[in-house]
Amino acid sequence: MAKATTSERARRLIALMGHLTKDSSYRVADLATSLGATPAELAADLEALSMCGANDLDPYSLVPVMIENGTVEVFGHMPALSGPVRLSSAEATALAAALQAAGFTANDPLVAKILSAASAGFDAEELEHTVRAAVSSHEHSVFGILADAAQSHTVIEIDYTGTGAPSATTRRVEPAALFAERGAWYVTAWCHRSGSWRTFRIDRIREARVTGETFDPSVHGEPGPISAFDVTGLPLATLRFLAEEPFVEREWPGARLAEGPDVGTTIVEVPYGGTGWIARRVVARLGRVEVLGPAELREAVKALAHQELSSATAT
Amino acid sequence: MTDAIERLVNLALFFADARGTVTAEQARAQVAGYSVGQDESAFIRMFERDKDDLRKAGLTILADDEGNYRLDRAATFSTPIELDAGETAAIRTVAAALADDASFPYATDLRLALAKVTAQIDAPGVHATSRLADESPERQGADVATLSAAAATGKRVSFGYTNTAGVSAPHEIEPYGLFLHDGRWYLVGRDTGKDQVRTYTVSRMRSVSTNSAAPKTPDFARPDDFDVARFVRLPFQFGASARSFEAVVRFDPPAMWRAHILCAGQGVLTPDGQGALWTVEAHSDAALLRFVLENGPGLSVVSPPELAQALRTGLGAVEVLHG
Repeated sequence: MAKATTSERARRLIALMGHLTKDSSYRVADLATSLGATPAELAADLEALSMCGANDLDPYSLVPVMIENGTVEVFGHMPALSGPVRLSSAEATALAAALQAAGFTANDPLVAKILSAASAGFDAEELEHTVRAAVSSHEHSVFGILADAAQSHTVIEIDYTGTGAPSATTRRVEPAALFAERGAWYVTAWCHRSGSWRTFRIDRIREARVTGETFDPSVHGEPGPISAFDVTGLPLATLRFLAEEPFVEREWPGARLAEGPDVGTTIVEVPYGGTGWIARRVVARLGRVEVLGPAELREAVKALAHQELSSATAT
Repeated sequence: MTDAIERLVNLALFFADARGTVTAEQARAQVAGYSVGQDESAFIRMFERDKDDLRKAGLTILADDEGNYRLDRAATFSTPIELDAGETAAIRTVAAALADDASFPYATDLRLALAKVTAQIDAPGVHATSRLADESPERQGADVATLSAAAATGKRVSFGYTNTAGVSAPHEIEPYGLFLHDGRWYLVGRDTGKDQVRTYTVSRMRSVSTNSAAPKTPDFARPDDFDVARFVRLPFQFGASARSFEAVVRFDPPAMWRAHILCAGQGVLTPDGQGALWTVEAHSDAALLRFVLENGPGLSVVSPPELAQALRTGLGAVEVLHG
C-alpha cells in the first residue's frame, strides 16, 4: 500500500468526520480497511484529529474523539464539518468510472443518485464523453442482487446460459465473491446443482432471484483461486494452428507451445474447463485450427460444426 | 508543533465554523499550524496550497476581490444519499474490487468517494477483486492516471509508441479521451505531428509525460462534439476503414435476451418476428464470423450473402478436417 500524502490523509479525515456520530465507537481496523490505510497510519491520523479545532484558542472546539485499544470513541458532536461533504470532481469521476466498469451507465438511477452528491465542478456529461471504463454490459439488477447476496449470505436462484449452451439452466447458488477479469465480471459461488464451487460469467445470467434462504459461508470451505482463467488441473487439448491462423497466446489462456512451427503450422496445448467452450472457439476459426486430441473433443467440434451448418443452411 | 495534516483539518474547520467571510490574516491568527512570525510570502504560498487541498477534499471555498473567503455551505455539504441494500452492496463490491486494482487509475479517489457516500463506513470487508487490464496492470494504471489528468486539464502528452508492425516512434498527442476494452486501456487524441485523431494502445506506450510548461494553462481545447464512445469498437470493427461494409446478423428468439449486451451500443437492432436483425458496420469478414460463432448459438449472418456463404463453406471445412 503506497504511503498517503498529507493532502490525502487530510481528505480521509474530512470524509470520515461526516460519519462520526456522538456516543458511537468504531474499530480503527475496520475504518482503515474502508479508507485504504493501515490501522497504525489511521490511528496516528485520528490522534491528530483529536487535536484539531476551528479555533486554536478554544479547547472546547476540539474534535471530540479518543483512540483507545484500537477503537475510536466519539464523545461529542462533530464541530462544523458534521454533514456529508460533497464528492470532489476527482472523487465523483472515480466513482462514476468504477460504476461504469460494473455496467452501470450514466442513465442508471444509482449513478444519478450518487452524482447528486458531487460538487458543482463535476461535469457528468464530460466524463461520459471522455472516459469509458465499461468492462462489459450486463443486467445491473443482477449485479446488485449478487453483490447483496454475497454480503448477506443469501441463497439466490439464477438463470444461466453457459458458453455455447442453447438455453438457460436454473440453479440455486451461494455467492462468495464477485470479480472483474479481462473484459467481464464473474461470480464465484457454491452451486447446489453441481455440488461444487463454480464461476459464472455475469453477462450470461439472465435473471437472479432472491430466495429468502440464508447460508453458512463456512460450510463448503474456501472456493479456491478467484479467477476466470485458473487452469490448475484442467485437461489439455492439443490444437494445430494452420499458417493463416497465427497463435495468439492471449486468446487461449494458459496455452503453451507443444512443438515448434512445423511446415507453417503451430502445435499448442490448451487447458479447457468445458468442451462447449473450446469446441466453439475451434469451430469459430472455420478450419484454420484443428483439434488433434483428445478424440472426444474432435467429435464435439465435428458435431458442433454440423449443427451450426444445419442452422446456417436453414436460415 | 502542529503538523501539516492538523493544519489542513484546522483550516477546514475554521472555514466551516465562520459565520461570515474571513481573511487570510484571520486564518493565520486563529488556525493552529500557521505562524504569525512566518515570512509573508511563505505564508501566502502555504495558504494557497492548503485551500487547493481542501477544494480537492470537496470544500467549495469562495473568494472575492478584497481577499475575503467563505465556505459555500450548499455547494460543500450534500444531503445523505439513501441507498437500498442492493445499491449499497453493488457500490461496496465495485469499490472493493477496483480500489486494489493497479490498472484502475482512480483508486485513491474511489476510496474517498466511497467513504463519503456509504452510510456504514466500518462495515465488514467485501470479497471482490478486479484486474481490468491484464498486461502490465501497474504500468497501464499509472499511465492512464497521467493521461486522464492531462485530458482533464487540456495538457499535451508525449510518449514513445511501438505500433503493431513493431515500429517505434515518438508521439505528441492532445489527449481527448480514454476507454477500456477487453483488458486494455486505449487513448484517443490528436497526433500533433500527423494532425489526425487516432487511437493508441496504452500498453504500447513508453515514457508517458505531460507538458510541464504553464501547468495551469490548457494547451488545446477538445472538440465540442467529441465522444469517446464512437471509438470503442467490437472485435470485427478494427482494421482499415476502407474495408468497411454493412452486415446484417440475425438473433434468434432464444438469443434475444443477450442481443443488447452483445451489440454493445453498435449498429441498429430491428425487431424481426420474435427475434431481431442487427445492422452493423464491420471491417473484417473473419472477425465477424468468429464473433457470430463464438457468441452462438442463435446468431447467424444474413448479409452480405457472400459472407453467409463463407460461413457455410468454413463450417463444412471444419467438418471435413475433423471427420
